[in-house]
Amino acid sequence: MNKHCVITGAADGIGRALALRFGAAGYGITGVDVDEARAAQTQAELQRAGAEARFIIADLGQQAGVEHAAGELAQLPLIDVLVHNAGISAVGRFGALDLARQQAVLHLNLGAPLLLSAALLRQERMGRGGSLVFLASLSCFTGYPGAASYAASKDGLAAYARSLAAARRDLHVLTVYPGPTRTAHARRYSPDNRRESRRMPPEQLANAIAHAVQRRQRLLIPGAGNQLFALLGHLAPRLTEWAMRKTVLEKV
Amino acid sequence: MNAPTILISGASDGIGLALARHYAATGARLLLLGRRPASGLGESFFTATSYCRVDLAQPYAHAIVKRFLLHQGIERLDLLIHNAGLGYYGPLEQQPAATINDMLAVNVHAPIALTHALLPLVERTHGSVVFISSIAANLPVPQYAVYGASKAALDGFARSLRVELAGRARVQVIHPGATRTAMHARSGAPLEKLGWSRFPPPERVARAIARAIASGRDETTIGLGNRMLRWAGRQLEWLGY
Repeated sequence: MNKHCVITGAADGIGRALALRFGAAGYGITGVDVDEARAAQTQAELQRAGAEARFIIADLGQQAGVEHAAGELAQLPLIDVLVHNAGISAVGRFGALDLARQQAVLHLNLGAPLLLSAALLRQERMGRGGSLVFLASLSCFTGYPGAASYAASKDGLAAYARSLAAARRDLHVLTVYPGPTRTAHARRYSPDNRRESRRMPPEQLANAIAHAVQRRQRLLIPGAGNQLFALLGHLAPRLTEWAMRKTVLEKV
Repeated sequence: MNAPTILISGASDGIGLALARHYAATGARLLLLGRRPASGLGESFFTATSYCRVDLAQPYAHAIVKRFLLHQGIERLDLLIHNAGLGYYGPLEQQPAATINDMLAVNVHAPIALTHALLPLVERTHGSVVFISSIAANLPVPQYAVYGASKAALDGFARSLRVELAGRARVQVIHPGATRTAMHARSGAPLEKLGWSRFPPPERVARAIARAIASGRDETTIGLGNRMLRWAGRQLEWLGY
């Protein structure tokens, strides 16, 4: 029987690249996404490539959406790889940025993975030695002035993954800290898209994640430039905060 | 000089109550948030003009607080101390969705929403927004997974906000370790096993917090042992543990 990979936010961007990558590796793919039209496109694309694919349409930013997704997943085969990828951002000065939008960021990026993980673990939906993958952000190491609520959501997610790894030695937990990625998401939220070509292609990121899952790595900072920036953030946090201030905050 | 105006959330118990006692003794104008009815609070500084009864798990709590301050004619805040917090002890798969939601609402959403609502008042005094976090934010805490995540989220928020507000207001984060408060009992933790009786009392921790706030430092961890733990936790994180 095929291994089963569940990816949230799989209709587009990094999630879609992950679906195609794991699909090509022989996994059956279950995507969870709120965008029905894009989900249908990605599902067709996966099927054309020979992968077994289905989508659950749910808004994980809402409690009811998480419950719906968990209920549907309970009817499907046990999960070998669960990727918490769905995420949104909100960029701007904290005081000027709409509070409801910032709360939506926290609900989807932090609340949803915590609720969904708890629900699936409670129902024992993870296969033996299965992998839980959390997409945090390079901002966990560097700070992210101009996206304070986003930074909060990703720091919280990485901390949760860490405790989960300590709590469940029978499972594999991987935390990914991607830097800028060449997706529509990044284009939408970045204050400056002139150097878009320097962002990592989502296919490259998906490939790195698939390898890290295979090797059962605990931590992945994809790309040498990102690794250097993360190390700088660890050793000289003021320096990376200043750099983020220049590249993000002063442009919003 | 006028007495400073200080808002403390979670002021009816634990570290928040100890902080309120500390600042009341200095003659500060206090604004205190808590869930308990005012009638059950013994201290004389809980009055109709200082105490706002509000459940921070409710989505519009920040609007209630803002209206309360407006009614009291408060236009400036020197200190906005986000102290209220919920705990939960136990395997993360057993934590019910409702308590995950409440914990995120009180520990993460409420301080962010309150800061959003009250930031102009703090900026008016070039005051300080203070987050009472926890060393659990920087450690793997299998029995406190959501709690640790909520405090780490707060730290990440504060770190980025500090850069944004530089020159207009301070953002300070305090990391206490385990403290002898009712939060632990309510969280379901096995108090005896954890050595609850050896935890420092909230009064001592509150004094250390007040000193840390007065020092103007961005981040303070309370207690030498906690400082060492947190340092180790941060190095281990880098290694993926």
